[in-house]
Amino acid sequence: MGLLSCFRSTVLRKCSKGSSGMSRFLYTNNFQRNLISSGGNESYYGYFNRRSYTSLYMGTGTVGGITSARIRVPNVGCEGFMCSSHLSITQRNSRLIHSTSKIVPNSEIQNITTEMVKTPEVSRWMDQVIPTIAPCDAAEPWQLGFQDAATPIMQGIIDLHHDIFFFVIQIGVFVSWVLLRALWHFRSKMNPIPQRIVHGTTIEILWTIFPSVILMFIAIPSFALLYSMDDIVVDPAITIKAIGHQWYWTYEYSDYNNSDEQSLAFDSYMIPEDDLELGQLRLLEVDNRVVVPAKTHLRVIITSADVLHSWAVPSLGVKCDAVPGRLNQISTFIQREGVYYGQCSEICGTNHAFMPIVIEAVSTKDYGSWVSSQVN
Amino acid sequence: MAEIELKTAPADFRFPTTNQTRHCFTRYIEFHRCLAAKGENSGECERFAKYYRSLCPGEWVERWNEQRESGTFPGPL
Repeated sequence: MGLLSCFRSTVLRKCSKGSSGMSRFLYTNNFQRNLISSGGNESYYGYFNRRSYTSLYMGTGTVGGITSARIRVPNVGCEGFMCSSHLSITQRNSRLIHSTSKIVPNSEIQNITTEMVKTPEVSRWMDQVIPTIAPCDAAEPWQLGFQDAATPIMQGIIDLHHDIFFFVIQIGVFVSWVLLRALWHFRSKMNPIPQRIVHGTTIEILWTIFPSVILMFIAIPSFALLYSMDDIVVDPAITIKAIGHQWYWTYEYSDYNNSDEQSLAFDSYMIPEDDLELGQLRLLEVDNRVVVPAKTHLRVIITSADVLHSWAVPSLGVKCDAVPGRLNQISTFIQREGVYYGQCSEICGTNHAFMPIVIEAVSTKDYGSWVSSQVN
Repeated sequence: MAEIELKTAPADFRFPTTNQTRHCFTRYIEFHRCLAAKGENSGECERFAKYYRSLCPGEWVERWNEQRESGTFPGPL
């Protein structure tokens, strides 16, 4: 049940999510009020860019006022397709983020937000038909649910959660109903003398068999998904080693070595909050990203050099402990190009919250360009 | 520029679990056994070298190389 829905179209799901995001933005008065009052500060740019509303409006041309505003969104790292064009010119251990925009004066921002408030109904209908697909995979502010899936395993995890939640709600409602009914019908006012019920064979049989059947419906897709994660059968095309340190990650690509000393290795430190550029995410950006090709089987070997860490990227559905002296292996298959964010998920000391993980999935050609620029 | 080939150490059915520590160790030993059997200049052992370089962290390989030179390597070379 859960696995078969793995093969559902992720684009369809993503389109519907983008549509709801767009309508949420347009119809919520709080957002309009906040955007108008925020002026030119960073949060406005960050939020705006992450949703990529500007490109949509300029593309359609249905809203003339916004098109003439000539606002330019900064070319920041979370847009994977823009970063991939920079990969061929990236030097070793240099930053992959190039900000080429200038800050727009406050008056233009005021005009843009004012025009958005007056968006006609036709444009709203068009937004429903042509939704925006956000290219950046990080948690939205106060997000409670899952991030968008980028691997079949994560899609399976999300579907399994939905299936089990269906049973959880049903069982919760039924048990609550039985409990409240018992409290009501057997209260002392109605039954001054309590009954002495000893045994009921029929209900014993029923409440033993039915939970077993429900557990079977929960366990079968769960075990199927669990054992499908151990895909040792497929030979990977790339091996990446993630080595946890206090408090950063080191990544090694050793498939292209000709000796033990020559290695494509780099450290991945978090960009401090003071050094963040417009549109970058706080506590999530790093100076050197892990670049991998999309639609390729990857092997990630995770270990640690000092204390326990955990390498977790929610969009990919991977979470694996980094144990010193032990090599843990996970296999993954990223289905779409983009930038995916994760964080260390095992308490490892004072700066446990400041060692994020950024994976950039690019096309195979761009990956080759990146490796060539790094190795030679 | 050299041509980049997307190829790495294959999956080994001797090590099907998440723990790949012995896989890395075994690949390293296999390479040095191959060197001992076929000589340093033989090109046939390069394949095993690529395997252990893909799987083993650089610090581990460096430490094992030092142990081999000083004769304290614990594996059956």
